[in-house]
Amino acid sequence: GKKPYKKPQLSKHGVLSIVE
Amino acid sequence: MPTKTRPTEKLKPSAKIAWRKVADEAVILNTETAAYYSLDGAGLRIWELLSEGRSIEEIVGTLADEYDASSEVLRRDALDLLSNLRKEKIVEPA
Repeated sequence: GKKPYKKPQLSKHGVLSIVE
Repeated sequence: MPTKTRPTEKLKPSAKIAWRKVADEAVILNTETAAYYSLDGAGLRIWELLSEGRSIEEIVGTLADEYDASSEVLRRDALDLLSNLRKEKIVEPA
């Protein structure tokens, strides 16, 4: 009755750039 | 030197963080640096519980009820993730 476990990882996708 | 995260500690999302749950992921934006991140699976669950003000030990207890892994593994992985979140300035002491 439990979910399979996978080690949690933080994914970094980059930096948003603001387009005027 | 990076600060080591202790199991008894309470952390919270940093004031500069904006986040939304999109499908099965937490999409996290640092509004100061414009860097954006995502967490899924157990990472999303840890983030949700952290946002609710739970301590690390409470988070590990909840994960142990929900996921097929030992408390030792869950605690170690949660502390690893939280140290990483802290390094990226995504969380701060509550």
